[in-house]
Amino acid sequence: MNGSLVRQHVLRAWKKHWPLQMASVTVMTLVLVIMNLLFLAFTAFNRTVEHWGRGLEMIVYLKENVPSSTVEKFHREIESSGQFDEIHFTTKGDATKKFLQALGPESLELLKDPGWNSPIPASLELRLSASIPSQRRVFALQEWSARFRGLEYVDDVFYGQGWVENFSRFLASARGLVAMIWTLSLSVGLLIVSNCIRLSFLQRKEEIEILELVGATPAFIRTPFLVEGIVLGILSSLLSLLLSYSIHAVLINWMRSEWSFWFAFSELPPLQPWYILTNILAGVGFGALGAWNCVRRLNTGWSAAG
Amino acid sequence: MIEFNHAYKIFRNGHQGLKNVTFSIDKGEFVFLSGPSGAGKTTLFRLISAFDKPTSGEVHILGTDVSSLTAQQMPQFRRRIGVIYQDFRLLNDRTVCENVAIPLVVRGDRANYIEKRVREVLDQVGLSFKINSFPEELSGGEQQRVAIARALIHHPGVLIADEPTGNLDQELSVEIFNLLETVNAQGTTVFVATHDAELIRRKSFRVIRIHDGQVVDR
Repeated sequence: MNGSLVRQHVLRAWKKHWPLQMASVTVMTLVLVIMNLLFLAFTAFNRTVEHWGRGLEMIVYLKENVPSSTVEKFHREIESSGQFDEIHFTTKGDATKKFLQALGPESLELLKDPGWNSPIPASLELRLSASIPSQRRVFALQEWSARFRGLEYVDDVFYGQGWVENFSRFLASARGLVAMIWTLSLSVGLLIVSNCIRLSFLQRKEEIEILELVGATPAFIRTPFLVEGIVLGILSSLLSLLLSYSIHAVLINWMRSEWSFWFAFSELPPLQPWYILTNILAGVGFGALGAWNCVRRLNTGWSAAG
Repeated sequence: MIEFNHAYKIFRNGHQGLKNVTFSIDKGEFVFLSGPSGAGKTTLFRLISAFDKPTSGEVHILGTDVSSLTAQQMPQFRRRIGVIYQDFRLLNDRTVCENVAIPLVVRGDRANYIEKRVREVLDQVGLSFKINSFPEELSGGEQQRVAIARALIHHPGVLIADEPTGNLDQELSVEIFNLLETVNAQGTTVFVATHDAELIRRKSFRVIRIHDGQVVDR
């Protein structure tokens, strides 16, 4: 079947069945808008998590009397890993001073007592590199912690284990929930779109019957319907992007004034180019699958028999 | 050309549409299929146009065993026969020219050949002047002539017509039958289902009578 016949078919379908075509586009657009908004919410959530994750720190406590050459070597090794943005070494003396200052100025008297041995160890305070993706940060902390604990001159490692692990579990559940909602919307969307296109195509059962009667092959019958579905999908996708951008603009303005304290949401970026492409492909997929699914059922080769 | 050999058609609900039907029609014949409503005329025509398969027995059309046709062979088979229905089955959003051209378009013929052939066949049915009209702008008789033109455009070996004058008045019916006779005179085998006894009586063609799914006279 040549391109001109397909074009004629699509134009004719729009001319003759425009209310049904509009209904299909509307439903498909709404489904895609919901998916776009879910994706934006997911992005906002990820940014919030990333924001929180940036504060993750680790303190490595060293054993007593570790030679300074070993500490320097350890410092260099951590630095060369490129996994940490900040590495700060605190000597036993500085740590003790800080501790005693925190207790009160009179506590500093202890330093003058030659018989007093400070229990506060020397430590390295590390801040994970911002380049480590949010979903890897907790794992990276756990991994480094296990590695440091294996070193003979490390006494203990602290990174707020309990909090971090709870946070990690929360992240996994939240991401799972969002993925589930997204998948559910996708399935429901596909079902609705498929039925909507089906309704539109059922109106043209007669056309398929006549084509079968005169010996049209399944490919000849199905191709124009498939293209029609794809056109519906592309139109819906473009409309959904336009709507999503408008909703995003309105939401951002509102959040900046009302939710400015919540950085991640108030600075939510618009849909990224890769997502726009995915959205268009999803539109094409919705349209093509819906159309194929329907026309396959109608074009059995025996349409006129019933 | 058309051969039924002990053909049965039993539907899923157990109803016997055709019972032990045996007859044959030779090349170039004009044959009437007559019988009351529900006698099995349409079922028989569905088997001829490969829109159904016999439950048992054999149906050979133009040398092809309908029972053995695969889905891939079906379109090629249907391109060798022409079918006319009582309700015309025209696409109302396409012009007469586009409706008539459909069998050649699906065959992938060239545009200039299609145009030439559409004019020829519309001349044959006397509708050249309506080439750009839409079916809804035509009378019942004209619509049926468009359907005949569509059934003839690809030079089918067999033309089957299921109650082609069922929706037309007496005068138009005669006109349509005269047209079918002309087509037959040009060598096409014509098989027409009708319950118009008066018309059958006036024409001296062979009649196959069917009653309750059985051929009672051939």
